[in-house]
Amino acid sequence: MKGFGIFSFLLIAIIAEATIILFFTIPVFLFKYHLTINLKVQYDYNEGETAVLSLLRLPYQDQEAYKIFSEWPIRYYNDENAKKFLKEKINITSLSKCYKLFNSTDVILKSGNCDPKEVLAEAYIFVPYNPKSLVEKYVLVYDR
Amino acid sequence: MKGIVEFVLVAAIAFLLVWATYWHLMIGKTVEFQLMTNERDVLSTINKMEQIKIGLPYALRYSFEKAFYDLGQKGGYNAIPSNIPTKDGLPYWRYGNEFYIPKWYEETAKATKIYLNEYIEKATGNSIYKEVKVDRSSVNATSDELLVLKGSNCKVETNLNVSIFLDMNRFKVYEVAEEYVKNHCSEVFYCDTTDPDRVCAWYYQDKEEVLVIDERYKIIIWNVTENSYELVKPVLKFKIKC
Repeated sequence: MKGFGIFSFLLIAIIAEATIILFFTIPVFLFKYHLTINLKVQYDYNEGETAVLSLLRLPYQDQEAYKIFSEWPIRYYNDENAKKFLKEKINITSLSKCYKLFNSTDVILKSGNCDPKEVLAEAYIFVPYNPKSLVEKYVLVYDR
Repeated sequence: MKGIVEFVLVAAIAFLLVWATYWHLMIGKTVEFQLMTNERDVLSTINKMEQIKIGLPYALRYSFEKAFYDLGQKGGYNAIPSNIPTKDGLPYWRYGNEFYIPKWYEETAKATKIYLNEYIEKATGNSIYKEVKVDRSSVNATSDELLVLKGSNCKVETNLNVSIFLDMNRFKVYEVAEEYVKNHCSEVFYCDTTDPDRVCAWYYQDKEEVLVIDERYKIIIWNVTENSYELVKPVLKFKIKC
């Protein structure tokens, strides 16, 4: 019986130690893991949104690039200069060679034969007055 | 018997420790997940607000253009006052010796405010603009309220007063029309060909109707019938009887 008591004591000690290890070490690793994932999600999200905001503010012909998005179906859909401008600026702001820019009706720019998925950002753009739709959603997707 | 008690004790302690560890991790994850969701929500809301702020001058310009176009089609009035004679839905700017020339800056401001609030309501759910002022060179929209944009777990507030500048001759179509009504009642055609910023007026005597066209600008207008946008020159229509 005395042996059993020592055995129990040792067993408690082992379980306690294992639990303490679990308590402190695993959470630390998990926290680090989650923090990494968390920051990656935030970074991806904010990077995409920041890229889009930067793009909208860029100067273009005495206006901002916002106007290209706003008036895309009216003035810019067949304007090669506007397309070239957007292509160059997306390359710079996203540092990506695989991207796709589209709205609800049209693919505005697409690079190569890739299928980008990594970073996605949306922009809600005021368009010239139209009783059916005053805001158009544009989506920029790109891979790093 | 003592051995069983010890064993149960050990098992209970082990169970509690494992259970506590489990809950510690779960609560930690939940808190972290909430923080992550909140952070993303805050970023998302701020970015959405920034997009609105960048786009507001454009919304104001499109509202102004639409207002300018619509008023031109209706003789310069949002709603024709009951004391003004009308025909075919158009007001007489002159009827005999009486003149009914609209206050075009005020009328344009009223219509612009309506359209601008539609834009802002579509984007945020609120229509905050209480006053729009239009003068010869600018359009200013102001609100004494802050725009509140709500996320799931946060809200962002900001002042959204906005201005755009206009070409000084933007209202020349009205100025030409007024000058025409006061001085050229019976002439068939008027067009200042010496002015590169050309504005022309036609008077259809049999219809007692004046059509003034601003040749310089093109306005983007949604054509309901065609279901597409088109670029049109601003037109001002009204009646006249000398």
